[in-house]
Amino acid sequence: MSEHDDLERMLLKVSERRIEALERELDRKLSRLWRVHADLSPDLTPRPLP
Amino acid sequence: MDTRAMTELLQRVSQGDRAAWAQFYETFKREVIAVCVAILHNEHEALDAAEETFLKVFSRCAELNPNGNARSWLLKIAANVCKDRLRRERSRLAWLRRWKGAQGRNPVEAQVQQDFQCEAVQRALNQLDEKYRRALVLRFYAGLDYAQIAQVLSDLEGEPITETTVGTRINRAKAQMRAMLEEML
Repeated sequence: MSEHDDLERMLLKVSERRIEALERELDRKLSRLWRVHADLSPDLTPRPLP
Repeated sequence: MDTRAMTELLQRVSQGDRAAWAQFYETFKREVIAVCVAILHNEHEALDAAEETFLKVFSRCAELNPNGNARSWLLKIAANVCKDRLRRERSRLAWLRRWKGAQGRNPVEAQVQQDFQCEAVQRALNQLDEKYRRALVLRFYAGLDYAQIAQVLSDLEGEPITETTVGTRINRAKAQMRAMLEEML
């Protein structure tokens, strides 16, 4: 998309804010799990979830 | 990221390379979140679904074909996770909770300082017909092109959705939003 009309610009602005906040939240949720997994499996060998 | 770099990254991911996995996650997290938001229409549940998607992918990364289309593979897993959630939810008549969630507080609301115009856009988006809203969110939240959107929607709806249909839905969604925003702003 090279040109955006007003509505598209507003949608992009809204989506940017919300997605960035959601990304931070997902980082936070997953970082806890990665830490636990790293303790259990330091070599990151793929294994099935329980 | 070009095709060769992606293939190399996927090879390392499939071998369980931690740094490669982190790069893979950073590359695709936005699209996965946006697909989950588009399908579930609830940011709290979308976050849970995105988390579940990455955990599934993580446990199955040895199945990843380094020469295949990682984006399609990943987004299909995300869509299936969301479909399972919708199915379970419908069976429990949990639509009421989802509706309330969409109207009220969610996990990122406090972080997002919205101005009046942005709030109006969000409200209008929430009021769109589901099939129009999904196409619009996949376009503007995930940044997917029409072909990618068509693939996600085809998987989700269980019937072929063409790029033309995607374009039509996006145009109708925008027309509906413009009408709503004219009244709100």
